[in-house]
Amino acid sequence: MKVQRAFLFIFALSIGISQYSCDIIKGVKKDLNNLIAASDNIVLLEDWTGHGCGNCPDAHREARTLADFYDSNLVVISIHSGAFASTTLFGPGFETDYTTTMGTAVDDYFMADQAGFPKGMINRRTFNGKVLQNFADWSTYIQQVLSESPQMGIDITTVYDSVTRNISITVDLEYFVNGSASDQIVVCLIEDSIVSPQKDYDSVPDKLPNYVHRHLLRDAITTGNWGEAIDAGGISAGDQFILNFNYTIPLAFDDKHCAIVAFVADDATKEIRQAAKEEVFE
Amino acid sequence: MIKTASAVLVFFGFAAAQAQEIDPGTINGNFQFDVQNYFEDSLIGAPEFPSRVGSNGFLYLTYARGNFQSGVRFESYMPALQGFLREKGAGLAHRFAQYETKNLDIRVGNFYEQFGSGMVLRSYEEYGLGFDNSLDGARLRLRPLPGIEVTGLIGRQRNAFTFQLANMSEGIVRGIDADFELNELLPGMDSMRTRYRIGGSFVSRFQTDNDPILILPENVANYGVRFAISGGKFSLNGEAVHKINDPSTVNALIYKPGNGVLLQATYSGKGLGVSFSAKRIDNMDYRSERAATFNNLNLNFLPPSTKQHTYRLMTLFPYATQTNGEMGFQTEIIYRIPKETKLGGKYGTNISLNFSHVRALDKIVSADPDMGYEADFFAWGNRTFFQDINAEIGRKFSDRFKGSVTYMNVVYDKSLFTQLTGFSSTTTVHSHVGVVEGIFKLKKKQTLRAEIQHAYTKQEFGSWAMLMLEYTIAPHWFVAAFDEYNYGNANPDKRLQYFTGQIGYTQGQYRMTFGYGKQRAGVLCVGGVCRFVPAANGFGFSIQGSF
Repeated sequence: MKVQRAFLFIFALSIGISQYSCDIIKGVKKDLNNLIAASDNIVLLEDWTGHGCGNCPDAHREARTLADFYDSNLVVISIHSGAFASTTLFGPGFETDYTTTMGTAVDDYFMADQAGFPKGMINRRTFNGKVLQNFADWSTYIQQVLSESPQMGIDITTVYDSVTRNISITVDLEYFVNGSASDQIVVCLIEDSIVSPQKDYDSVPDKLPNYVHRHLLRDAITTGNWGEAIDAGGISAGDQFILNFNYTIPLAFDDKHCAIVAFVADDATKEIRQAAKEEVFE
Repeated sequence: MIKTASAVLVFFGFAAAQAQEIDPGTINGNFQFDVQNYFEDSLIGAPEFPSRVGSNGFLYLTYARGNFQSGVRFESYMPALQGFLREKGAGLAHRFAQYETKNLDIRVGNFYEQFGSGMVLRSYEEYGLGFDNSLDGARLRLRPLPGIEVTGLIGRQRNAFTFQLANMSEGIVRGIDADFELNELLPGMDSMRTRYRIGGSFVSRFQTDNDPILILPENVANYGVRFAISGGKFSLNGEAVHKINDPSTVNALIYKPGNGVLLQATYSGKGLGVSFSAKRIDNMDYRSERAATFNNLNLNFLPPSTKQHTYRLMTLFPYATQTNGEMGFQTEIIYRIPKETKLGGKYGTNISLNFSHVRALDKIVSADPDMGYEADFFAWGNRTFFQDINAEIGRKFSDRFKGSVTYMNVVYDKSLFTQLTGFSSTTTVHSHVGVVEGIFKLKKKQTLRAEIQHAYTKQEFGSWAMLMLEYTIAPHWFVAAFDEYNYGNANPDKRLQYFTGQIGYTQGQYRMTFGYGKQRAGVLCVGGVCRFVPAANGFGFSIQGSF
């Protein structure tokens, strides 16, 4: 009898616990009405990747899902860097170097390559003790930033001469809160839809020869890897700045798929306050 | 830091107070400290290590008196050795108090635990790998009747590479396990020679759903049942587990439930041992945070069904269980040819044959994209992840000499395990590895061990050869040196030698080693995410002991 009672007790206990500890999900999408409608923030997602990283296409797909979902509230930059961007380690087809001086410097600072790809940074901010996030968490932290009041506004206008390939860029900044003397503006060029091999471990064989690489960081337009100072004397709420840049798009890049990305970051903390994107050809 | 110091003082204060009693209790401990310097070496690709020296270390102390036990482990990373994440700091990473009687075992603080084979829950530590996923909370073990053991636990999990107690998993882990020894419980079975055991376990992870788009399960359950039968020369055990929907980074956010089955059978007779194991894993990656990757915050352990080799060139292509799905089996036969026979020789000869084969599941894309894929339970996939055929013959020839010959034929899908393809564009590595080992007893207490190894392959980095010599003067000293030569590398500039030399001294329970070596680069992949482990060149010192 003792044995039967013990069995019964343990069985009942297990059933009881299991009833309260299982969430079996039937429909996977939340009610999305008004989720982002009110936000004036534009978030920068930096997706650390490489053409030799076979686990990265999963993260690329998530970045695309989020880019489609958040539309103009999200700017995605894919940064090829580190060992997975090697032009010699992955065999024929992987000879093109997609790394950039800026991407490598930012990688060295945040140690993205060491942490293992794929990884992403949302406005270079720390969430849950980390700057480098796995892609299952990206949407949560993007949403968190979008729910905050914008610190500033950024507006990009461009004039492009397709013959000389010169683009003149005007970036308007308007601060809604006090800025910092260490605030810097970063302007860079990204290129979309580059067809080039990519490793994908979900595929057999694992080399996808005609993979479409999206929104790749191609070059820094501002000087240096961390941008240029906006006003070393300090910035107050209400301050406005008009900044002009000139750049010639290299012939190797398809200008029809290029876009200008600008963002303002506090160089002391590296955190990004606001971002913006403008296509070269609208 | 002040908090840490206070905790240590309180701990030893308690121990000192107890020292005045009649039974002062006992203090035991063990420690290890490893320090390594790193030279930049562009030839082998060893990068600059900014602090030039890295070190890992720990001291683990336990105090026991009667039914009571407590312990602390102090860990230090200044900064961590290369290959671990570059953190730096020191602190109490583990502390517990425990009270245990015949029927009751209660523990608070950090603890390790395993339910069944580990597919539902396994919390453990491997200092050498920088792995520690202890739970921090409370565990209660009850033995209400002879033959019944029930374990309940709740806690948060330590992140493998962090040492701060505050840096625990976001998820909370709850679990219960029951184990029944039927021979003890059921009348008439206690005298049976065959022993029967059954068990079941249930674990649930709670993590808040903050995702703006997806409805994520906040409570994710993983549960299983198991059995074990053993009697005489045979034993058979198995476990089946099921995990409910658990979208995560590792499974690319799909809602498909997971499951796993493991079966193991062994025969062990005089001079003959046979074992067979089979395993099927489908979407069974389970962690205390859904975004966790690499070897961080693993809640379960999926046992590999392949032989774990120790010879160095046989570990060029190591196998790791593919948590997203695999099917495999392993069989091993160990036979001892009796001594004083024509084949067995004067002392007998040991023969070991081992075969393991692991393939992908037969996955097809699901009509429901949220479910990811479908896989027929009994169908093998087309892709071979890993296959290993190996044989070893070992024989003692005289009182002064014994030797062995080992051969391994390995097929290895490197895209899953190493990710670097070297100078070949193919995905699969085929390699033949041979090892000859001889142990010579030179004089009383002096032994020389020699290994000649060769790995032949056309893929990856090409063929390797290795020579190892180890000279031991018992019981204190040993000197060892080995050289790996990547002579078959397709790139002549990369045909490099990696030399390592070591000297060691052992005194009772303490052991010190000092050495210099070059380590080849590689990529370490666990749980679908890979980390590049750079090459290294430098001196190392290690001390370890227990008291």
